[in-house]
Amino acid sequence: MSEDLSNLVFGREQQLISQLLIEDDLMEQDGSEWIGPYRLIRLLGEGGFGEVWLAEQKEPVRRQVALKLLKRGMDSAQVLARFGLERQALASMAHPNIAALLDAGSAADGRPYFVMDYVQGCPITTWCHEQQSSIQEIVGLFHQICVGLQHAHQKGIIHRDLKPSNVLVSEKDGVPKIIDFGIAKATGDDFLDQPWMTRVGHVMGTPLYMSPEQLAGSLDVDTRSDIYALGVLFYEMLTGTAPHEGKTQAGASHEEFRRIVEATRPLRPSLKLTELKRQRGIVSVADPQRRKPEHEIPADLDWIILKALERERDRRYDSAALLATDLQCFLNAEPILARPPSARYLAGLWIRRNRVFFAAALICFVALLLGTGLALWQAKEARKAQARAETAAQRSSQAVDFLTSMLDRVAEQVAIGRNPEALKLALDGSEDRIRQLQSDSLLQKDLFNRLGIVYITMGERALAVPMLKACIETTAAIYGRDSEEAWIAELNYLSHEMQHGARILVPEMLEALMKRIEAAGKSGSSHWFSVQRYRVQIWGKLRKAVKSSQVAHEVIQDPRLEKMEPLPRLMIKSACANAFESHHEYDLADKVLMDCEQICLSDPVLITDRLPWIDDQRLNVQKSKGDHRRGAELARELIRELKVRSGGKHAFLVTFLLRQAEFENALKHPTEAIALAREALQLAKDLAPSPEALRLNSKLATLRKEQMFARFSIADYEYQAGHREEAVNMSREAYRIADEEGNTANLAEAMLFLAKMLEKTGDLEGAYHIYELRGQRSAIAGANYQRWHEDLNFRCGIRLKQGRAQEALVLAQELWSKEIQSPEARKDTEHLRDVAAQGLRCYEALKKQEPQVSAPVELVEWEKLRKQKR
Amino acid sequence: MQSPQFKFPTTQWTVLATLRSGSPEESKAALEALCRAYWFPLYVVARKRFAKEDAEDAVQGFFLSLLRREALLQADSSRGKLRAFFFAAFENFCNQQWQRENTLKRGGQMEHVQLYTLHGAETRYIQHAEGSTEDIETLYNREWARTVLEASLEALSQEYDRRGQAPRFKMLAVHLTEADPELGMQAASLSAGMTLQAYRTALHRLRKEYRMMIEQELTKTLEGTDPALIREELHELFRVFS
Repeated sequence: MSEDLSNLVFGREQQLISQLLIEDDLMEQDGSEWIGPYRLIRLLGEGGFGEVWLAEQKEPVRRQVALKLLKRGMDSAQVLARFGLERQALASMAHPNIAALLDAGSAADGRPYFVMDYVQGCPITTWCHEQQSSIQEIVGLFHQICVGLQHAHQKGIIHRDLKPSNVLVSEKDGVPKIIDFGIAKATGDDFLDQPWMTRVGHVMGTPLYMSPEQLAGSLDVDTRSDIYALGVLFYEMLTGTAPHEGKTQAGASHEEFRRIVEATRPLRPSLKLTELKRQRGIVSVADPQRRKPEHEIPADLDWIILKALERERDRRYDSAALLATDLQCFLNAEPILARPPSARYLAGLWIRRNRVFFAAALICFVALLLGTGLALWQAKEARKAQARAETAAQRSSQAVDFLTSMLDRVAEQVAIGRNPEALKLALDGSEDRIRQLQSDSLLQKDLFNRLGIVYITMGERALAVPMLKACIETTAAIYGRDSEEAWIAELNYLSHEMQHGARILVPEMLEALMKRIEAAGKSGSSHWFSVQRYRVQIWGKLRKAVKSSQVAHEVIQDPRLEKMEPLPRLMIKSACANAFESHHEYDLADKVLMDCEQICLSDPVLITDRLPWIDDQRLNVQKSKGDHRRGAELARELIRELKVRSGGKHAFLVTFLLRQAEFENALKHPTEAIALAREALQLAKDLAPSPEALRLNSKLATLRKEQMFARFSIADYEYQAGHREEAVNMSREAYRIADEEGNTANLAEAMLFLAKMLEKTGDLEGAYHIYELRGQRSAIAGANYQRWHEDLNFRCGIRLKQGRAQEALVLAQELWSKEIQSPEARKDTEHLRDVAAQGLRCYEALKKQEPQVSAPVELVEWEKLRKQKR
Repeated sequence: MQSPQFKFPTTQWTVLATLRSGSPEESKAALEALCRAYWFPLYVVARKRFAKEDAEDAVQGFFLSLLRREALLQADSSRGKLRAFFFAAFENFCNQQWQRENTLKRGGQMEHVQLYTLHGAETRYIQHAEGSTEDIETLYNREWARTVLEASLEALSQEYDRRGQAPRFKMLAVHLTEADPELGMQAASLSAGMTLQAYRTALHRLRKEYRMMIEQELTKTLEGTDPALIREELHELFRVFS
């Protein structure tokens, strides 16, 4: 190959081929290279849609334009008709960041074409890459795009297909321009039938930039779908890669991609960049990953992008203008609107998903403590008694410090999406390792206890119980079986067993412990009373109200109780009141609670910490009693008092207002009820800390839950007052606020509420959709067994109500197959019977519609269960 | 390329068949033909993984393995394009065999067979692919497409030479890559002493001929000569560079 010819080719390959292609099938009959009034100059690009040509317009002005020639097989008439609908709106767009659409028509061979301003430039991502733009420059560019998009949105035009190749930066002046407005709409869903990726590097209609709702094939696409695409674009401008890029193989179906987008949260751009830097040893000079350290992506941009990329569009920026405003704030170093999902939320999610890793991290924590423990043990040897106290203090403070920082790190790990399977093995030895630590049995005991508690936090009760038991043994070995320390350990174990474990065994163990305490002559001690309190509570939990109340009577009459410290006295009495309430001894319960109030009032700490809880319990007693009049009065009184005490700024005011509303509603005063609930909502909003404050101090109560409950109440009362629309709107609002808070449990509750409300107001399809969504979101969050069961069951019920028995039956079958796979559910025959009954209902309904239908395979089992009942 | 007049007897798939079952001499000739077409593209792939010398050895080793018919057993013309087959086979070779053979070589057991080696591969690599962040298959495809474009252009140049029209080729060829060929054509035609229309026609003809050369080149890697298939390949060439 001669050098000359090689040079002629290199760098000009595209032009070379495009010249040849002009000679190709584009030639119209007269042999000239014209399409309509446009002379083709050269091929600029090609994709699944067709070709883009640089063309020249001679009349009325001589200028260069970009001509987009759609490929064969598109319905020209339909495309142009759809285009015609938007033509006027498109023509009204005039903005420096938008390339105007000038004309449309069809070529001689019938292919539709569009003509637009020619932007001589390159895709914005390429531009950033080549210019090695700084963060500030990128934000500046991106800001202009937001402004341009906002202009289009104001004219009622949604782009629907924003991606780098549709946002070009002009080589002349560096101004970014959005092209191809109106084309996606005009071509409609003609592309949806196409395979998404044909081969590596050649993507037609890439799904990377599509919002989840577009991926799901929803026809309801709005401006927020464009916001999502902008988020992806911005992400790529900053990191050099799209959020979900590289997660699919070439040839992956769009359905696969949709599942990935649904199931994974995009990595924070800053972390993505760090990861990329780490992954790629060698990077080229022009790589964004080679940016100087001071060019690292600031956290604020992370949150801005993630907000734009929210899966649900209600959580995204409402408009491009808002996004632009946030960017402006960022540029001006002012606080932004977007904020991170709370660390606790993420940590919770993560812990659920990565229990193993969490446990493994704990081993590190244990190992660290081992080292410290050894050093401290030596110190203890040297300094005897004084050192012992010091050890305890340090031990606990270090443990707490470590746990805190570990939780922070866990949240970080979540964001990075680590999946450290390799650490799995480390888990096994943890108990043994603590056991080997005989040199410091105190530490040993402490570690068992903490490890047990952490296991409980993780939801690993089976692992927690041996730890707590080991703690009892170790403590008994140090201090003796009937030492106070051993009793404390035992009580600790029992309280957890009572809450999470094998409840049925607890009363016996409590009796045994009580006897031992009494045998040691400590009857009436605080430990003895703790046992009594647990006895009252366990019977309550076991739904033995009579037994519970009986013990409570004994305890409350014990004269030694009055000599106890205020806090334990309060806790015991409150537990007793609870027992009386369950046993319908309402007046006694109220009397005991009034005692409790007095205890609280005598102690400044208890006034703020405990009094509202006691008061709330009093209101609950009235509710259980059904004395709404007295309840309303009491609520009014409590609200007045609390307003005076707190200056009208106490979170519990919200609770009390809602309680009062509840009573008023029961008294058939709907107007008052609504007004009170609205007052509660307003108060919750006023008291809720600003997003900014929340970012600075994660310990602040968000009051989101209270706002959610206020909305539930309002919705309920509005519904009862016949205001259906208002009720639905309020329920939606509750859903939104729960989503904003990010607590999965609350979210599930809010979605359930909304679905029920939709169902009540007759929007069965809407309810169905929410249940479905709830099921998906629970699945993402690692839902517990109850929730997915609920959602499937409700969906099945709705289909049945709608008379769509076939679909209902399929859902019932799915539910059944999942139930019998779940060990928890299999044990619960009562529950299985309900599921079977639902299945049978569906089948019978279907049989009524189609008598010939064949029986489902589960039928035999279902009928067997039904017969058992009788 | 060193001997651009070299024409494959038929398609490259047939060459593969020759490799598979021909006499040693035939095989060697067939292999040389394949080397010419795929040396640069494969070198780019190898160079993204290895240092210069190792990359050369890898490509060389790969072609030798073709001679030993190891990779060929999997080659099946019904399974798509030859260039895709080569890419996959080479990746496979780099992952497995190359490592093994490299170890053998260090032990001095490999008989060194001097094959056809293309000079300037490293220069091309630096010029075309070194700084690029594109994925390796794209780079490979580009280099392959470039080879096709260059070989065809070279063949065209030889053709004009043969007709005694070398200066004409030189004059017109520059327009092949012009963004807007209409621009500047007036001046060019004047200096060539031709009318604008005659000049335009000459260029048009050159383009047509060039296209034919490319089609011939492409045909070699395709089964059959269906014009639609060739047109699709041409579009493919364009896409490779987008």
